[in-house]
Amino acid sequence: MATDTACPVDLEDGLARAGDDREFYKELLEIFLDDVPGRMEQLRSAIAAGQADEVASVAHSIKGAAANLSALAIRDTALNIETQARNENLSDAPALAGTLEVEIGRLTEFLRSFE
Amino acid sequence: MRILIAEDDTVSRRMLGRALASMGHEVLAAADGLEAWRILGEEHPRLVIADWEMPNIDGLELVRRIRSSREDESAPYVYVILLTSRTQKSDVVRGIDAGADDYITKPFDRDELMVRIRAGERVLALEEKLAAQNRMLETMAMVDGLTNIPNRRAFDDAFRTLCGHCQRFQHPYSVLMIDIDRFKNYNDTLGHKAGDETLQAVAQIIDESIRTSDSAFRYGGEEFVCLLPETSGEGAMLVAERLREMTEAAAIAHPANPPAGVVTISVGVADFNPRTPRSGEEVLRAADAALYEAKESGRNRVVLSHAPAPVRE
Repeated sequence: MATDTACPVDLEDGLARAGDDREFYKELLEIFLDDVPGRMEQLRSAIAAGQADEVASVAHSIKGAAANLSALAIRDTALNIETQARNENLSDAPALAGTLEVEIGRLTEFLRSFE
Repeated sequence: MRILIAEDDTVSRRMLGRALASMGHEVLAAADGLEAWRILGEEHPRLVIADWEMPNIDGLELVRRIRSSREDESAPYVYVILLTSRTQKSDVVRGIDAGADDYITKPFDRDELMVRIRAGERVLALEEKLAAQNRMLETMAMVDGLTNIPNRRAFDDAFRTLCGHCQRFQHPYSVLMIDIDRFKNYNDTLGHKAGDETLQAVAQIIDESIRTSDSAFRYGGEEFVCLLPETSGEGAMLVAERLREMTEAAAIAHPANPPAGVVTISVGVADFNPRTPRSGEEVLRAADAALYEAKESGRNRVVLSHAPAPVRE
């Protein structure tokens, strides 16, 4: 994928959203990464159960939080899942959820090196 | 300003909270609509930023509740900003129609948030000014312009409340009906300006001599009335007698009022006894009759209304 080596966040934009406070931005990333495993679990089980409404709602919340952090890849993938789910389409959802996991992993990596 | 954030997403909630705190606001936070509704009732924030999509009660429903609960016009207005990722015009229209004042799209921009909050503050400041003016008008309508004590209208309100309360809960109260002796002659001899000053002086004496739980009103002309909650006729007589003494002791010259030669008052006292209940109107009439008796029997005195005979089975 073309974005593999790119930074998982638009750092300039993300910092601006956090009032140019690196410590605070880091804290927000931590909150997000603490929260997101639970949401991924909800997403996975909603996909497995074929509950499109629930998939859309969980993807929506992941998208919202990611947008606040300018975590663009996560935001876009979650939006993709949400949009398809709103159209009752869950065929790509398992694969997209996998992509989401990878992107979340990259964000975790990023946070480790972020000072 | 005290601002409530109703937002289920932790990241967004923290960001909003930090941004608002850095603008100097006091921030309350709720993770869903139900919690927001509870905090609204307890902490009375002036401004609410509510996420559209929340568990339990969503932002739209929260706005509806806030608007429909404000039956009391004197309650402060709550300014509501909806936070939404919905950018469709129809959604925005729905939100504003439900009673929201403004909306911000997610992810929010700090500068935009700042100006939206400032716009809200302007509206709230205007609303507050209007409310203060209304309160002032309300007060003015209830206070007698000359004597600065509550007027007849205020009495009617207070008396209705007191009667209702005492009849329902079987509590006693008393009424003092007060009249300045030979006031017409006072005006005729010393002029209306002196008459006004005497009305002010007597009103002040009465207002300062009653107990803190009692209240005094200008009933009309040279007549005053006092309401004494939780007071029997006997207790009311003590208060009435004190008013009479204080007025005489003020020694305001009144040549046309022999034998004292100073301003005096006559007082009719009637009470409501829960064991022999009667209407407020009857109590007032009894106090009036007692006042008449005080006048007839020589003025500058206090008369207790004859209690009605107890009802026999």
